[in-house]
Amino acid sequence: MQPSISPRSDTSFSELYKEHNGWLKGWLLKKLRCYQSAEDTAQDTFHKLLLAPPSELANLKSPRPYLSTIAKRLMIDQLRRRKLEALYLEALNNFTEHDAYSSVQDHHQVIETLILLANMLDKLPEKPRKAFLACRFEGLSYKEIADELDVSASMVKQYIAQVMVECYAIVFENEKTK
Amino acid sequence: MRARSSNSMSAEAHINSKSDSVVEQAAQWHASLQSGDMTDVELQAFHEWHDADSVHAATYAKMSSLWSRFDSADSIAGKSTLHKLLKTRKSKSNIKKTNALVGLCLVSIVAWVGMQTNYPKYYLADYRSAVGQQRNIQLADNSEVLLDTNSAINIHYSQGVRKIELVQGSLFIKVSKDPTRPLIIATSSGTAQALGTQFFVEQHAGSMVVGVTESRVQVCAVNDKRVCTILYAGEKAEIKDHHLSKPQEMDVLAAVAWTKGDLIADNLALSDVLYELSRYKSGWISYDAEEMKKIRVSGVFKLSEVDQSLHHLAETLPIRLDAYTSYWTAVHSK
Repeated sequence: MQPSISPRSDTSFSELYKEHNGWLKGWLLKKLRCYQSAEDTAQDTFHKLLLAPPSELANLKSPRPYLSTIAKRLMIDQLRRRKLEALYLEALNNFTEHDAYSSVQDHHQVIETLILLANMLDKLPEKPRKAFLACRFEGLSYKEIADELDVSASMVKQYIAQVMVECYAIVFENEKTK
Repeated sequence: MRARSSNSMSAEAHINSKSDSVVEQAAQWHASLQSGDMTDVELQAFHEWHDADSVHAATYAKMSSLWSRFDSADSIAGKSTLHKLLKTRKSKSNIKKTNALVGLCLVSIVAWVGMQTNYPKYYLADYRSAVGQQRNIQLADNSEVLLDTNSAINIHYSQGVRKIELVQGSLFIKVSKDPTRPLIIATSSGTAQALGTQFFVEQHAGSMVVGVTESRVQVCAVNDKRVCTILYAGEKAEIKDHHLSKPQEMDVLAAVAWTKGDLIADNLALSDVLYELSRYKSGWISYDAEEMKKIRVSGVFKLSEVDQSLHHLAETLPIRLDAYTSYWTAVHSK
């Protein structure tokens, strides 16, 4: 299933766009109460739709619930991103002396990485999550982590592998559809 | 886990697992290499796996690149954000689980009352903090209070209402939820009642400022007749001479910075900064308020190190410090 846009999907896509774009904007406007955001989110929603497999588009029976589901997911992502940005800026404020030289570009990259971390850690049980954070960000050895979590060192290794599989899926699945 | 043989920790445990996808195998090898205690035999096995198939090598390279991608988040601010994020998610699910029996809602209140006027009341208060000290207090209903420098409170809890009298100073309070007993912060100027979650009150000699950082708060001026307004998140209002102002926007971060031991100045008048710092210093900082009003300051100052903050100001601004005694510092413009 290649994400390339075949003529067939193009037709159904433009039909979908013509028929539902106005409705989607109106629906988003009610939720977001801001014309610009509604417009942007509607565009993003159709952009996502463009990336969906053509077969899925062709067999779409009820496009509006489908569209609103994509839009809802986008809105949640935006909300998360904004919350995370706020938290990070607050943290920067608290630790200005350490991050005084970082640029806007750096901040953007950090926030992207934090979002990735948040998304992947969210999907994981407590112990793998703790093991990963302790290993990657606290520099603890597997043995130290094992004692902390009351499991074996080989279990810690499995946790770390599990987390990386999750991370790989998130990052490279996304890239596949781009 | 996948080792069926007795040498469960050996490298074969990974490469024998035919059921694992290449990604899973790469993750296992990567995790093994991270441990830093692989034997030569295991390393050899890794290289064999790596070179056996170009897909193996490519997948492993991607796995390593992911690992180093986290470098950008490996700063104090990045880690702190991550911890906070995970903490808020965890507490959310905990509340769901316990059905919000003791749901804590955050209420931050900052009040300021003229210092000299309340000396007897200050010493007779239920709880008080010294100059330069911040103090945590756990109340009977599980609410947690953080008293700012030189502050004092009296607790009046009854069956119908939880009233906290702020005699002087500032406080930040995490209020434990109790629908049957509202929580009210009272000062001589007025009252602030938590309707939702987070707010703060500030009282400068004779006036009182209430600000809300989350949800809603009802503010009332003490007067012949009660004048009240409801504030929403990000708003503040002032009561001055029994008159209640309209809600205005406020800088939330700067308003509650003291709870983290900081003073955040975003283009503030130096006179205001000196006034704030002086509240945390036992002793006296003298300055010409009119002169100092002309100088603007931006920066973050540690409230626990007032002297250092003063020196920092003197280094960067056209001012000079004269310390007459350890209790008296005079600030002059150059």
